[in-house]
Amino acid sequence: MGFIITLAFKNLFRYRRRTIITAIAIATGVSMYIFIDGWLQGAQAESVRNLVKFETGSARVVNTTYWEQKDFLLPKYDIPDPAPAEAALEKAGYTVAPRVTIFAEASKTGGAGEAFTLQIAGIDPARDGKIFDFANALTPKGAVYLTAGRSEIMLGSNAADRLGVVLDDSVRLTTRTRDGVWTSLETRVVAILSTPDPIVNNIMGFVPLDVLQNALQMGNGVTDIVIGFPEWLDPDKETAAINALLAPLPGSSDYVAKSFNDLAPEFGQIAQSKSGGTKIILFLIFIIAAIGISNTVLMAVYERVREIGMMRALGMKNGAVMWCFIVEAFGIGLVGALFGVILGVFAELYMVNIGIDLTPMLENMGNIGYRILGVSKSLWNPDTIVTAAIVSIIFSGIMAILPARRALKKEITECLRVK
Amino acid sequence: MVKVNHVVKNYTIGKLEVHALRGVDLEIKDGEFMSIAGPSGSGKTTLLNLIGCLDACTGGDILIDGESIGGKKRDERALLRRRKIGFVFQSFNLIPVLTAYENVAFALSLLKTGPGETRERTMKILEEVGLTGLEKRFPNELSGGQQQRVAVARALVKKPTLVLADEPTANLDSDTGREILKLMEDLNRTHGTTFVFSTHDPMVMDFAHRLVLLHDGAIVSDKAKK
Repeated sequence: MGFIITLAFKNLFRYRRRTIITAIAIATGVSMYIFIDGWLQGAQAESVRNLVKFETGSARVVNTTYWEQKDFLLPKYDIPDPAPAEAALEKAGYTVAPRVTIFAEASKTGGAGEAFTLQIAGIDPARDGKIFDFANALTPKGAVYLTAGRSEIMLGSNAADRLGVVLDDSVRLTTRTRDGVWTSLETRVVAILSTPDPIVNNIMGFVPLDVLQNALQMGNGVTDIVIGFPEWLDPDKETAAINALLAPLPGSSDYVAKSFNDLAPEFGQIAQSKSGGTKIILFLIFIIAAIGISNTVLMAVYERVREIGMMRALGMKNGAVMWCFIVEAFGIGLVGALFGVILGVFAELYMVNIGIDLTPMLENMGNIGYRILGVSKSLWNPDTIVTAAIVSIIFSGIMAILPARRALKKEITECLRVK
Repeated sequence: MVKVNHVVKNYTIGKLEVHALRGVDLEIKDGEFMSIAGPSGSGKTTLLNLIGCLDACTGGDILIDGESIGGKKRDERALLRRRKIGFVFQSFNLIPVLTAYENVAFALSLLKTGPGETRERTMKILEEVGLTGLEKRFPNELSGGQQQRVAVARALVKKPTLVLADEPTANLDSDTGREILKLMEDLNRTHGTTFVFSTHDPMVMDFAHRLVLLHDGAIVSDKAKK
């Protein structure tokens, strides 16, 4: 084996240019894989954080029918008395905040602009802030958080732009009450929300819970009990635990807990399909690298037919001759993987610490699934780095087998005759 | 030690059957320095390839040290070549990325010889073929004669019972060819190794101690000269 390794190593330098070109192809594949995977992981983690902190919370308890008809957000399917469930959840250590979430037509009061359908959430200003992070997203200067009992609204930045409203303007919300009667609510804009979640910026508005409950004639009823728990806990397991916790309560069969995975299913689906698409791109990159390796070894085999014949004539077994080419391809894979990892790590170093500002691109793209705006950063992915390096080295070796076999199919005498 | 028993070798080229050897009988004794000569297409390289286990007979059998090579599988033939047969080729066939030393040591690496013994035997044989001081040179840094000396050293370093040389001087000028033949003759004398070489060069035939003439795949003459 020592001789085979020595020979393979020396042969790497024999066709230096070819080795470098093939190694560059592999390095490109490996570095792209590391870069894209790290970026996707970063985007995914950031999206989950933003989803939970600005859009859904960790989980929610909702009325079963409200959930079944969630495309309409009808207030008549509410939880009329949320107090027992809230008490049970708080006792179990969860942070809870009641909400009423509905659709409403919003328009600038006295303005000639169009009306838009917004998702309006009635929030308890004191309790909601323990789960959501809107306090850090208030713009412009002078903006304040909602005050209970006051007819105020905080609007997502893009929604405010579309309505043409600024701070202190009035916004009229038109919707149906719990009983289906049309009603309207005049609110004053106290803050524009500029969050890293484009969904909140585009279609959401927030008013005090008590004000919305009064307007919708809901009494103490709510449509959601938002639950917060630490992000390291498994959301699906925790939601199952919450459902078990609520089961003994009277009327519990009418409501159900859903994790943020269920609350924003399109996020999971889009992230999954993006990840699938990325895998296809990465597969293509590896195919290019594989063709490179295969071609390099094939050319080496053709150029060394007589040498192969001589080695076999001297008593080297076919298996050993094949190993010469496999080890040589391992070598090319190793050089490629090494440079790929170095390139990938440098790219990640930049992406983890500095990142790329995607705001201009994402703002114009609408809902792309990911809840990210602003600077997008990567996550370190040591598993991927090691996997990419090992796979590319092994893959390179495997790709040498077929061309090497072609050389060994020839009789020794035939190999020795080649000029 | 090498017994060729009524060996037949036929090739099929397209629909044409070529009778390369037509029942050759030959006995090569230990320590012989013999030449198989004949015009192009007479079957000398074919006979050498069959004796060297590089090809299989269509009929008949070859025995090396009493061991029949006819029924041997590919890997068994490789092991036999590794242990008992050395080859010297017309175009040297050295590995260009290896030095003279490494090319010679390659034959020993196949026998899994230890590093100390490999070094000792390789240096000794390089000295015998007159390449002391040139061990670290690559083939492209050596003359044709020096490259063939490396090839002779590679064939002999494993102490084979038989060295087969297919037209060893064909790529060399006559002076260098004579030097190589003289070297092989000396090594035959000092090591007692059997040398069989094919040629159609009269100068090479002159060197041989025994001359076997082939014509149309059959032996037409077999004379001991010295």
